[in-house]
Parts: sequence; C-alpha cells; structure tokens
Amino acid sequence: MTADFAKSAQRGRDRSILTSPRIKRLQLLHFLVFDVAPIAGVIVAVVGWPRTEPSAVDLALFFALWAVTGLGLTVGYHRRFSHRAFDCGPGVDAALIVMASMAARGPMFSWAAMHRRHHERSDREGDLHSPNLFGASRLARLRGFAHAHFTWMARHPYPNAGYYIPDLLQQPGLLRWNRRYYVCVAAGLALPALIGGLVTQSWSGAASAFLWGGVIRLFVVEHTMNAINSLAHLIGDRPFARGADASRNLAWASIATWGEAWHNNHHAFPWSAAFGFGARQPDPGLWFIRALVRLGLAWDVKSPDAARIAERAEAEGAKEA
Amino acid sequence: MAKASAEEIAVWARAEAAKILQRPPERIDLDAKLSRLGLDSATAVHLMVMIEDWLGVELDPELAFEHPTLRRLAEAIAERLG
Repeated sequence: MTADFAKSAQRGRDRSILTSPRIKRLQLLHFLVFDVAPIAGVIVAVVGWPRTEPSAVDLALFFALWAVTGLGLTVGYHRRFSHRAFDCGPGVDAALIVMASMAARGPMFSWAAMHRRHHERSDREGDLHSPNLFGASRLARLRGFAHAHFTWMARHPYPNAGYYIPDLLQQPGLLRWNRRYYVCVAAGLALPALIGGLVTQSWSGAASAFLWGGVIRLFVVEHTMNAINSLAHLIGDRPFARGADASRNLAWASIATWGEAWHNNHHAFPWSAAFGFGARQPDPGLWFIRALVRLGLAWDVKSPDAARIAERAEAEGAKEA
Repeated sequence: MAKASAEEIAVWARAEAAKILQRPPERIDLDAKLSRLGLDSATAVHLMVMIEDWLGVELDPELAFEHPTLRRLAEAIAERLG
C-alpha cells in the first residue's frame, strides 16, 4: 500500500457522494438533449402558430402521456421506490419504472439516490437542488431559483448508490428495468408519433403528435415537476415548520403536479403514500395508488391519521414560535 | 488487504458484479464492457465503492469509465496498489 492510499483511507472521505468528470459529461449531455432541446420544441410551436395548433389527437396524446409519465414519477420513482410508501408486485414495479422513464428525468436508481439525499440534507449543505443556499439578496434568491429549477442538472456530484439505495440494488427486477431507461425515453417519443401518424394517415400528423405528445409534453412534465424543487422550497404555506428545511405546500399546483405540490406535508411525513391530507387537498397520485389497491395490485399503503397530523403540526408550530 | 493481484481483484469484482446483477459469476464475462453487462453509472459506482471497501483504499471512480471491463479495471487497480 502506498503512503497516499494509507492516508486517504485513514482520512475517511465522505462515502455518500462523489464527483466524476465522466459522469458530469453524461449529465451535461442528458441536460442538453432532454432539458434544453425541448425548449426548441416550444419555440417551434409558438413561431409556427397557427400551423402548429394541436389537433384533438395531439391533445389526447399530450394529456395521456402527461398522466402516464407524471404518475410514473410521483407514484413510482417517488412514493414507491424512494420512500417505500406502499407495496406492490414486480409487474407494477416494472410498469411504474417504464412510465416514469418516459419522462426523461433520469434512470430510477439515480433519481431515488438523489432524492433520498435531498431528504437527508433538505436545504442544508449537500442538498443537490436547494434554492436556498446562495444568500438572502434578491439576486441570490433568483440564482437559487434558477439552480433548483433547472441548472443544477447540468452537472452535479453523484450520490453513491450503495449508500443511498442498497435496498433497491438488491432487487433484480428493478435493475432489469432501470437499465432500459433510454429505450423507454425513446419509446415515449416514438409512440405519439406512431399513433398520430396512424390515426391521421399522414406524415404531418405524425410530426404534430411528436411535437405535442413527445417534445412539449417532456417540457411541461419537467417544469411542473421542477417547480417542486424550486417554488415549493421558496413560496407557499408551511403547516409543518421544519427549521432549515424550507419545503412548502403549493395548493394551486397540486393537480398539475399529481399531488407533489403538498411538499411541506411530504417532508413532514416522507414515508406517507398520501401527500395531500384530507378531501380538501387533492392528490391524484394517491387516487392512483387507491385505484391500484382496489384492483388488488397494491397494498400496505402507509399514511398518518388525522390525530397524528394535528399533533405534529402543533409540535412543529410551537418549535418555530 | 491492500495487496492484491489483478487476478484476485478481477475474481472478487466479478463476484460482486454477480451479486448486483443477480447472475452466476461464471456467466459474467471479464472482457465484456460494464455497460454491456448491465451496469449503469449508479451500479458501476456502487461496484467501485465495494472494491474500495474490500481493499481498504480510496480509488478514483473514473477508473470504472477509463477501464470499462472487469479485467482491465482489475489490472488498473492492481497497478495503483503497486
């Protein structure tokens, strides 16, 4: 053993995260293709209007794939894999990974590892997408917003999967679908083009369906979900005050984010399959899980009862005051 | 455990990769690209950290990308161990 190795082994570096130039290059490429390029699709739609106006078929594909990928992200990547908030069989696991992968938000293992780190560090040093670590001035807050909403993805340290998701790595079924990430992304773009082309029997129909059901749908899913990292850590209610953890509830965004916007609730009870608490907090992700339960496809759905929620709100409110 | 031959490292890494991939070690080709075997960034990094823990040394995770087969990776690590 060389002296260098001996020293570093004693020093004991942070085992939870690492930086790799090669992984950063992959991140940058992914960012350019799936986060920057879709903006061009939106520009094309605006500049080409009204020729680019969506047909009924385009709109149907847009909303259907928004639902498929949005629910895949919140129910699959987030509630099922990152937090184990409910249980289901391998078929549903596979379906959830495929659905979410089509949103091009990264492979499930990477997503879950980064998300568990987000809960470990919430708005403290090491949180990969906090808007609150740049300072208090208006400019600093704007920079924080841009980072949390968009630019953090261009290059960032990479969490050690062995540290954050050992439970997921042990399930061969998950690995099998996790590694098909790019096939799923491609399918999410090819599918609307194919259906649009077949239904209208034209190339222009295929192109238009690709634009709305593929590219613009990617853009909308990305920015609604990214608002959870940015806006839902900057503005909104905090029924559960949590110190440095700046997570907030954005009631107005709850439907468009499939329930994700009850983000302060989620940080208070990360193990809960319910993000919205009670009938007055709509949570389409929870409705989807309940539908799976009714079909016998999901079980052991975890959520806090009303007494526990009230008790926690009171305790954390008192701490803040 | 800091002294290990390239052969030893390759055999150990193959056993670990076999655990990650849930496949018998003998069905893992030492000369296949890690990505071909089914290891992506997350699982390749996990494998590197497992090797580090086993050897009790710190390794640059870049090695798994610069030497993307188990045999070449093991040779590169053995060389660094000196």
